[in-house]
Amino acid sequence: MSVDKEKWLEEKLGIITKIERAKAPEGTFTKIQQKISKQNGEHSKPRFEWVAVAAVILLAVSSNAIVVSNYFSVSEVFEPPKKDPYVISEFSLYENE
Amino acid sequence: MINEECCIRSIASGSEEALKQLYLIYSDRMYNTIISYTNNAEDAEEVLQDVFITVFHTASRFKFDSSVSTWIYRIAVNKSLDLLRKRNSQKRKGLFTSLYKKDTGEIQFEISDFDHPGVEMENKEDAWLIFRAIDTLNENQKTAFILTHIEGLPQKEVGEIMNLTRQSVNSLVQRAKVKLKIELEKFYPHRGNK
Repeated sequence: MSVDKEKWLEEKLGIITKIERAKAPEGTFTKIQQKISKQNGEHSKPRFEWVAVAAVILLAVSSNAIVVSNYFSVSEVFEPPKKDPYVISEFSLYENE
Repeated sequence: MINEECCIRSIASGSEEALKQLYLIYSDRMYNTIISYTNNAEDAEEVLQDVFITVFHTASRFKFDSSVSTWIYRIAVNKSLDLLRKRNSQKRKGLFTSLYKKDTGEIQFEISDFDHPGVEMENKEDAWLIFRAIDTLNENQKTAFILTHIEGLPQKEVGEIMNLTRQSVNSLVQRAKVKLKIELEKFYPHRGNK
């Protein structure tokens, strides 16, 4: 690379030093505050989908609990019904025929 | 002059007023750094917002093992590089195939996309070409060059921001300058020859 070219390129690169420092646009901090409060709101309020999922899980678990508790509450020993003394169990209806 | 450590502790406990104090100190510096990466005022504002939201949410995890300034610069540099990666991947996946050079697949940035409030109109084309050249640098070279030459930070501080030694930063800057000259020569092939 020639000396002239080198010098010229150095000058071109020097343009960077002439660029004024950019300043943050006005109102940016308000937007930051709005985003933070929006995010905080999202964190504190559970989303509807999650509430629905939790409700379904709760329903499934409680239904299973009811079924299981009913299963164990049923007596395992079979008790035959008490005999009614007035009920005739042996009908000899055709004995004399 | 506010005590920045107290400010960070207040932010960690949720004080937006303390965040505003920190914002007033650093917003212009961060914006100037970010826009050197994005070359676009709108994107730079988005990244700036993201930087201070991250500061707000991560202040409780700041261990004071570096200066507050170094910490905020790190966040700003990382967020800016994230935006460039996202932008590049979106353009590569996008439908606008005309943005690519057919032979190399390299992305062509148009001067209409260049929007830097610090650049005067008469210098706009030259500045755009320089930033276009900066964009061809790898991430480390780009960060070292932007922080030292545009932001004007000492190499030692840049080393702390990038977790590198001062010598490594110096080496990155030298390599960046060589690459920039090569790129600029491509943009102005017939200039500077007598």
